[in-house]
Amino acid sequence: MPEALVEKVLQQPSLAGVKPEDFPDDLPLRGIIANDARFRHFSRGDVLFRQGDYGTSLFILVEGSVCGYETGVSDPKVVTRGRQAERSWFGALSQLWRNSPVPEFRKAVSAQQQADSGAALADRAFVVAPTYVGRNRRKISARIDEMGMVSSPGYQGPDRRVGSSDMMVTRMDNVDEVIAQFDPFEIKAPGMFGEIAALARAPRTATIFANSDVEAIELRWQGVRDIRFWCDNFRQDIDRLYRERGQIAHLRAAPVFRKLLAGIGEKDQEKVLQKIADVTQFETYGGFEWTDQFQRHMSMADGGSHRMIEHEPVIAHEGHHVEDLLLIGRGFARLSQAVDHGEKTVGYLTTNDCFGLEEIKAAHRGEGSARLTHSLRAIGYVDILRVPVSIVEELVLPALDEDAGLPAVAESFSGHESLMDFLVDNRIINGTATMIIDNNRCVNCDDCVRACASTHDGNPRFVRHGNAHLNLMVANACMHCVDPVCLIGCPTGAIHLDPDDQKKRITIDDTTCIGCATCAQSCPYNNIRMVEVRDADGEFIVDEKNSPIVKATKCDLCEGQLGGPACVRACPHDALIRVDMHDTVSLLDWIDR
Amino acid sequence: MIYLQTDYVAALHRSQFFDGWVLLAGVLFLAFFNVRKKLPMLPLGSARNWTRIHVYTGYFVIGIFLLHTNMSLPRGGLDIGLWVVFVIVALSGLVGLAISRIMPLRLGDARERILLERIPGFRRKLAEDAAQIAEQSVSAEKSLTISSFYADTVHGFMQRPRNFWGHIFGSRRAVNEIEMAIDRLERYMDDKGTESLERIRECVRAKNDLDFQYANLILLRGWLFFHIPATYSLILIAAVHVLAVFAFSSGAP
Repeated sequence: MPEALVEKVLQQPSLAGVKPEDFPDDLPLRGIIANDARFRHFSRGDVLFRQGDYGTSLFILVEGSVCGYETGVSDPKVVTRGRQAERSWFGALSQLWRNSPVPEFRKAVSAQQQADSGAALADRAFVVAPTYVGRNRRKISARIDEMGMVSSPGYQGPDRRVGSSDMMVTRMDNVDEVIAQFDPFEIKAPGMFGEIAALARAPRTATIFANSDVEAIELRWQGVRDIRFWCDNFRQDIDRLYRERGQIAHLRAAPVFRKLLAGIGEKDQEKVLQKIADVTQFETYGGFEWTDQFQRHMSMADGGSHRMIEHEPVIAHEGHHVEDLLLIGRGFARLSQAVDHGEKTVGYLTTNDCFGLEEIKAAHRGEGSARLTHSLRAIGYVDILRVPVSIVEELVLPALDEDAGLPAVAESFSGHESLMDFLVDNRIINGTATMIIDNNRCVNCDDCVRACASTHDGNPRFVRHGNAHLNLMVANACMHCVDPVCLIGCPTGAIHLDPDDQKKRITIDDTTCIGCATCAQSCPYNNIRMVEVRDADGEFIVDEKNSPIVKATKCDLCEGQLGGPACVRACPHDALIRVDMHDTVSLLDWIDR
Repeated sequence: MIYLQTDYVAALHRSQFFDGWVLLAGVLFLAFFNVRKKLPMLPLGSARNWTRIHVYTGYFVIGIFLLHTNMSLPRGGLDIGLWVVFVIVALSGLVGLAISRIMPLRLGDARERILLERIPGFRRKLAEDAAQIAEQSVSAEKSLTISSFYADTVHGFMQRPRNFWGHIFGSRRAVNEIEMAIDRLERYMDDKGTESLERIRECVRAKNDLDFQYANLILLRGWLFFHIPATYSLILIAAVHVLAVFAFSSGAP
């Protein structure tokens, strides 16, 4: 970003308290702004981001106003990509003869055909690949002025730089209808929004669209975190916003407060949660770049995974006095106990789990020493909400039964300790639909692979191979992660979470995938593959530069197919399971079956 | 079943018609498992449950077969053919069941599980590595001893899968012979030569591991090449058998 624009960013009221002198020489404020911020311009109806998008940037309004609303499950009026409809029996069966004999076949549409049928194709979304277009897609070009500013409507992922000529936008044609139907909230300049995604790397909680001509600064999460770290004023502003908009939701979702909130009205719930939120501190440990470090370790000759623990920041030390109840806001944390000169992994915690409650309870009853019985380490990055012991004793403990069935601090892996080390060291715990194959039962018949191919136009979407611990092999199949780093940076939002919150299904919209491979490179487990697509004659589909068009592909848990993942149903020996790694009971039951 | 058959016989029908039809129905149901496997896109129940039912129905059908044949050998070319094919199907099924239970556990002895399709590639790489070590030893040792040993003893072993049945029955004789030959040769070697031989030994062991997996994986898949074609043959011959029975039964019920 040019110096003049950096100056303009720093003059914004939202950044008024940010002083360059607070920043170290090797990380100057102007450098952060130049690298991580950009000006964006939108017209009325342009969608800045959609609910469920995995956004990682903060927006600061310079001019104009935006509206936002939460829609819950996909609404065809406002969500441009929905789930694939479930097939009929005949539709499912017809795959037998409709599957293409050509690998990675796609229906190619020439630019001329696209132009001829443009009116029919034009809708709400976009595609970049010029020789290939699916339903409901159109291409919109942007104009970039001499200052490098994108001055036409354009949606773009946070990693694209100003200067790119293919800025895309999703635009609503029915703004007034949406406003009338959803009664959206409004944010006016100089307001900020998007801080929840930037801080917690979470899916966007609302759809935001421009309600007028809008000028905004988009600040990538890296920049937000750097400025927040070095500038107290900015930290207080951001944390206040986060507390107002996101923290209460976090607290409300935590099982530890469920009993407390049960049986009281919504207003009283708000009051109680506000009281807790007022004294709760938000902290982050580790870095979002954990995938790089993880991949580096995994590529070491000796596997290297066992050394991961040495690099994990300690959140709480075993034996230290318990001062707060720690609530995991996002990410994973390793529970360990000291054994001689090392640490034995005994469990892991993830979103909404808490740490220290047993010790607080014991101390409150006078049965324990209030010293932590485990250490807690950040696996990758972790958001922590620190709730002071005093407020836990005042509000939470009286509402708990003596033997309240709260989630155990350490999931019991008795007899499977080495498995726990394997799962945590290799970050398998990230999966909500991890494919595990029991090699003691697998007869290598490949029925699972064939079933996958049969339900994906002849192309299997996983490899029956992967890291193994004793007889358990974690196959190279998308795990549909709790922390889907593959979603970060997708310039078109083609890879996305299922709009139905009940499922953690992550799918790729083939028509909007531009083959940039950002997701494949981000996936720490190498479970996304880039494929060169072909036409009906088996020829590669190429762009105007004669380069083959590539698409990202991966397991979609048989979206739209009848009966769930075909791989599981096809295994004749009960050797394959898709398991949510947080559901350790199901996992251990399956292992011990 | 016996109760139904008694009723059927009491109605002056011949029991072999009854258990014959049950047998045919059972065989067709068993064969439908393969159709189910070809239709993974339809929610026809999990293959795991199908396998269980397939196994238990298989036991049941064998029992009906023994009843149908009065536990005696048939006479006549068609019936003998049918009998032989049924026995092949049944035995291959039982052997396959045993293989499916035993071999995956045995494969746990391998250093690392490797996909069957990838084994030729790994084998080629190991053969190249071993050949290179032997070749380098000529200039390093100024001697042809190791390269000659490689050409005479190791080269053939590395080139293609070896000791198939030995691996199936748990014999290590082939690899032990090569290792003993390496041991014998090491007494003539200096440190460098010993190091070269140890590297060749590693390649031989790795190749032996590949052969072990290859043999077991081939058997794990191979039994189906008997079971499934024999099943289709069985259905065809059974159809002819039914036609023949009705054609020559002279109006028997």
